Amino acid sequence: MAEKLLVELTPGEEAEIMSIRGGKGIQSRLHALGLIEGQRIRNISRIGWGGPLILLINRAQVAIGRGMARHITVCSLGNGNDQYGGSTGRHSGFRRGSKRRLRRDLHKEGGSTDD
Amino acid sequence: MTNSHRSPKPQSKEYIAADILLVGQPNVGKSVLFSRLTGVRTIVSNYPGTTVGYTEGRMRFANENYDVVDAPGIYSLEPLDEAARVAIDLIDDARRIINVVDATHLERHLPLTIQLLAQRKPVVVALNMSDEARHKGIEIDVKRLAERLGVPVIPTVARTGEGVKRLILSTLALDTENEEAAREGPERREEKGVIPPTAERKLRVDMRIPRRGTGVTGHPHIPHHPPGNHTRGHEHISERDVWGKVGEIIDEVQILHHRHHTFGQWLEDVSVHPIWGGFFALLILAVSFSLIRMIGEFLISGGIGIIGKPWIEIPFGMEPLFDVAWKPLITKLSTSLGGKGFFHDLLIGNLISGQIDFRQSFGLLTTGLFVPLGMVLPYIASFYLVLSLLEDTGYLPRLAVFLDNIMHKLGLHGYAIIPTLLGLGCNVPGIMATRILETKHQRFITATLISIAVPCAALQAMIIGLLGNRGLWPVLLVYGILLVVWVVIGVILKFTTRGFQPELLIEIPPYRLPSLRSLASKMWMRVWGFLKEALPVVMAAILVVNVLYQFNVFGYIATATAPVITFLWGLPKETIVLLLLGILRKEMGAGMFAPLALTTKQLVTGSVILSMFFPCIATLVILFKELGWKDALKSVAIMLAAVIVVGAAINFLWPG
Repeated sequence: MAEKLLVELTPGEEAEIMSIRGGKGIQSRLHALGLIEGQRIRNISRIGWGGPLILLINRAQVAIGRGMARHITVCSLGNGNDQYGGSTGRHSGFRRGSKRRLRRDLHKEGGSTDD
Repeated sequence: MTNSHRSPKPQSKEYIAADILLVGQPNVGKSVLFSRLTGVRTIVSNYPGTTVGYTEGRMRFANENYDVVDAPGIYSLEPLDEAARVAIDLIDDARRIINVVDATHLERHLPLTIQLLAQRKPVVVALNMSDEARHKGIEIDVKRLAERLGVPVIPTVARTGEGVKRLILSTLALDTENEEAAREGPERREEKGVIPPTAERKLRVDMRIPRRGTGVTGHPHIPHHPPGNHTRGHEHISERDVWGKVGEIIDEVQILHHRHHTFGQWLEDVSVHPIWGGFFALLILAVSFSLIRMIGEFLISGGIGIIGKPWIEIPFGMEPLFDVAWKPLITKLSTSLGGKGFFHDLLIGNLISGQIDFRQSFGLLTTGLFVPLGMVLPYIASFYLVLSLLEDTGYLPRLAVFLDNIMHKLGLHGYAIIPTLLGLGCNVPGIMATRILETKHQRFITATLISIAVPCAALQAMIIGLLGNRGLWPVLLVYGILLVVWVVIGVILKFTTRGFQPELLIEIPPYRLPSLRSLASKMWMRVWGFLKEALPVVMAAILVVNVLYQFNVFGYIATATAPVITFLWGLPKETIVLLLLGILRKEMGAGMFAPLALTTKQLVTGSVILSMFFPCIATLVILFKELGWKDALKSVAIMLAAVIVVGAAINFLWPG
């Protein structure tokens, strides 16, 4: 369980989103695509020459620029072999655990909240 | 049947009060559903942001008319961008709302649904793409979902029309419910123990609609809720509550069955692979351009081939048609008019060595018909066929991903490639599509680059037609120069204009087999749109030119502008006429190259200048409308500076 930035994930690596740094606008755009604290994601590709990362979130591919991916802290779960993330039965990918939310809030208060 | 595209008007609030408003996230099929409901054709594609303004149409059902509005796709009810602000205003005024959600990604669509329910408007949820969900092994307990949300949920497949009738019945039945109850929101109703209206009960109520009439619906001007109650509906529930609730609902109603990797998923993985995806993108682009050329040439002359001489020739196409069917008739007319005179020049034009030449004669019935129908239409049809295929399969967002790094060097991000590609068809929809970009700054750069360095299909068809018989390299040279211009101006704009450069953040839709219905309807709209716009303007242009020639007006203009045209660009001074004419229709300007007998160098310079010089009048109008006059003037100034420099550069750098 290593904490790192989303941008540092290598293709094939799975992770859980810990916190998202950024203003309301960015937060809401990321949330809309399923990038939300507690969500499990999988990096499936990283385009060269500063190109975007491709993530698999709830069975959908999402492309995210590296600059934006630097604002997201994740907790690596290693290289999963489950190709289409979160397809184990009735698993929605959501963790409603209070721990993570607490951690996010702490992070928010401590770090910068706007970009 | 009414159908009008409205641009977002952030300031004014003159939206019509929709009887039925379609609300949902981008790319869930709202527009498909809209055309199912109203019969109005709209452009639908497989990427987010196809509907940039909003579209209104009329649905006729059980002898009643209903105004249906298709709102732009939004992710949330936070008024963060223009599309969302438009949608929020529309929601405020709407009588009933159909919330279209994607059954394959319910967890991402329910937050909007829950926000909508908090607005206390009568809502029906259309669980769209439910066939795809079934196919992907996603099972949704519709009944339970409806109970949890407290509103009817109808599974639909907008593409085939499955479930649409039930959706209409449920939506219209909303009126018969106590509006008060609808406005109180689902939570209150649940608390009170009011049974949530299930779809079955709805259907029974529906049967009474025609008899009862729809008092409120028939009169759009009667306010549908008491004024005091209208709090602009900005009921805020915290985002955390929303996500928590969504998680609960999903756990309860959705079961995922494991499915093996399909070919489609394999292809989806390959096309975003860091290495193979790049090759795949190149392959797709090469195939697309070859296809456009092949189909275009086939429609013109019946020749099949990609480069050089056609490999096979089939007696087919617009050119043989003109020669066999039209030429004899026109020749007869020419003889009966005496071969010269004012009317002969107007209708037939000049005879080239005693013969009618469709490319050069420049009469209304010769060149005026041949350029739009014989030279341009085939390429318009073939370009839009290929573009529509790319759009509907869902490849374009993947291309955006691979071009993102390059586009960043121009102050843009990958998604800007979509308006640019549309601009290769016609600059007008291209510039309108810049609305899918987040910031004004991006829109300015993209629109400016389109209007300067992206030639429309009509112009490209003419350039290929004129330069093609001098070999392939002059054609490629024109494209190469325009590409360099596009990159250079982009880089300059990035460093000279101030503005925040956002990052790419898009959902990549799954690959889908294009539906023939959507493809055909889109092709028809675009080709018919071209004919409707182009034919009258081309005819008018030829008329004006012929009349002005009689009065030698162009002689004066040509002399006045000769220093730039002849000295800087090395073109005959008459070229100015063609450039000015190009402002009306680019292909008409290019059509005038034919009688000038230019060298290859002059033709290349001329083609580049014509592409860059003032965009056609339609594009100019859209440019001012979309950017505002200040930015549009800036864009025009950049264009003038660029065209002078580039024209001179080609002239002086090209020996000979």
